Amino acid sequence: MWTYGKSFFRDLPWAKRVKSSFLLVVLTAHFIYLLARTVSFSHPPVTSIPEILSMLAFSVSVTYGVIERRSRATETGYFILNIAFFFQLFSSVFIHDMPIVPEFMKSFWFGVHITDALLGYAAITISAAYGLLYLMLYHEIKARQFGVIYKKLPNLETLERMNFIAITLAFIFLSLAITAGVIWLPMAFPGNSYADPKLIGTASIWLMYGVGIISKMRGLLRGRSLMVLSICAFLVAAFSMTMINLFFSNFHHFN
Amino acid sequence: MMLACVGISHHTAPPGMIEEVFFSEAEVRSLLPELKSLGISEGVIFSSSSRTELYAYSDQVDLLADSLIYFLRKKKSIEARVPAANFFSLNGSIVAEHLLNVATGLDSMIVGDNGVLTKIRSGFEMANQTGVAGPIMKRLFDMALKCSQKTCDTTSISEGAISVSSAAVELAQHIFDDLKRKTILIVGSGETVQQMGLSLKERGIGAFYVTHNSAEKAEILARTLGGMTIPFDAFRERLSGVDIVLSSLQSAPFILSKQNIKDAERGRTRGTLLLMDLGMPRNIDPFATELEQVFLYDLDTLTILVGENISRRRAEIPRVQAIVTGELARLQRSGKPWDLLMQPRT
Repeated sequence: MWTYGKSFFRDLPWAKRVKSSFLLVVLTAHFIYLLARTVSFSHPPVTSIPEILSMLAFSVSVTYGVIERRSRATETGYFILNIAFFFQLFSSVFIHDMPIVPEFMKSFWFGVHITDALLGYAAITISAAYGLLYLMLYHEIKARQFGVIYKKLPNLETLERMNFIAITLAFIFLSLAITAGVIWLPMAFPGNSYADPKLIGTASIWLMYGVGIISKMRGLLRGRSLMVLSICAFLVAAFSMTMINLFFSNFHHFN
Repeated sequence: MMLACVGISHHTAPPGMIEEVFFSEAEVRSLLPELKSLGISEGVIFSSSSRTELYAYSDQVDLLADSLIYFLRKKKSIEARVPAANFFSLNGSIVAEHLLNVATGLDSMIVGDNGVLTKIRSGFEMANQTGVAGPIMKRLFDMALKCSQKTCDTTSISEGAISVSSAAVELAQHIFDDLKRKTILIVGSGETVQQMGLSLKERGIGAFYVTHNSAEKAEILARTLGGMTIPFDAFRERLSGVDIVLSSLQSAPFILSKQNIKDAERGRTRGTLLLMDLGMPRNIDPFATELEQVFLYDLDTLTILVGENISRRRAEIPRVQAIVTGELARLQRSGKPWDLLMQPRT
């Protein structure tokens, strides 16, 4: 994040050169850390909120890395990796070992389900971040104020493309998370129904993004409207998941 | 031992005179061997539309600026038209400082404009190939080119459009990703739109359409830009298929009315529409700015953009000056013969 910041705000050539390589090194180190935790505690590192936040930080960074490679635009890294940094900071401060975890949390399908869900939500977060960056640049250009945002960010079409890649990744990962969940649910919780609030909530968000993708591909949604909708979709997703976690008691409360 | 520089630039002469002293690359190449006859041990000449400069070093004689200036004027046979008073002459440490200022764009008419850099590089390469550049010139020009590179890498003194036509390209590049896949429609044939069209063509814009109420003028511009013409009474129907419209006609009322733009927006299958209204009076209804994916700009906006870019470049001057000072200090510390050459001569 520091090198991305140096590159964005100070235009330092060395930072521009090394930032993507630094990201790769950090991602590798983070992956090794998560793998080591999995091996040491014999369960995927998603059994507590700090562990989930660390996974989320990793997911945000991986998703950003994929988008950066696909779009070849590296200017937005500072903004996206800030999100990952704060997730990881919180995780590092509060993380603790869980000596005893329920048996179902050691399942392979559980790992697949949670990892895909986190990658999906990370991609949703990133799509909203790109939506926000697009709107900031859009308003500068529209208002004829040619400031830092105008000078430094990639062009509007690139930001729109990055947003769309994030939305597509969100849809793919949520599809995988739902599929893994649907397969795993009867194995782990034989008595539970599919009418679980979190499952319904996730399926609704998945459907919302699916409709968004089709609308974009058919030319019904583009530019500013698409960005506003992707931010709204993120807010709806964040709000509904928070509400479900706070007010509904169900098997999805894993810890 | 002496290091000297003579030349002509916007500081000392009007553009017409500077053009008179312009040497083509072939002329520079043929001139270089003759420098030895002036007692010059090493020399480099570069010439562009904005300046011509001769750098000379002699380890035996004191070089006379007047004879170097006379040499340049005689070779172009301009003794009568360009007086010697319109040339400048420098020696000692000022020469190195001046070269760095030129290479970094500090000495340019528009600060940060380093268009002369290619000429500096080719001038030095020619001198090197013909054996006229020795260790002194090599050190001096290597330092200038490195300093220029460092300036480009670490400052934004050369960033941002500094002409209205390049500002139009800059704006388009902040909206569109790949200009090669974009289509442009030019309404009119004025000098400014032509210049903008050429700037966009240089960036490889996908397709050009030109329309004008005079079919002949449309044909001429289309030929210049390598595009196609559209009949003036039919161009509005094509709006939904274009990405950029440059308009510059003397016409009232609006050529593109509120209804035209609304219809175009409704029928669009493409992304954003960029409208540039350079007409007097205005060609395009300002209502266009209210539409979500339509961006409308006029000459005033482009002028503001150019002004802001120039201000931003000026703000970078202290950083570039620090780089130049650092390089000069390093040169001076490098010992003989630089410590001697850097002494100003009276």
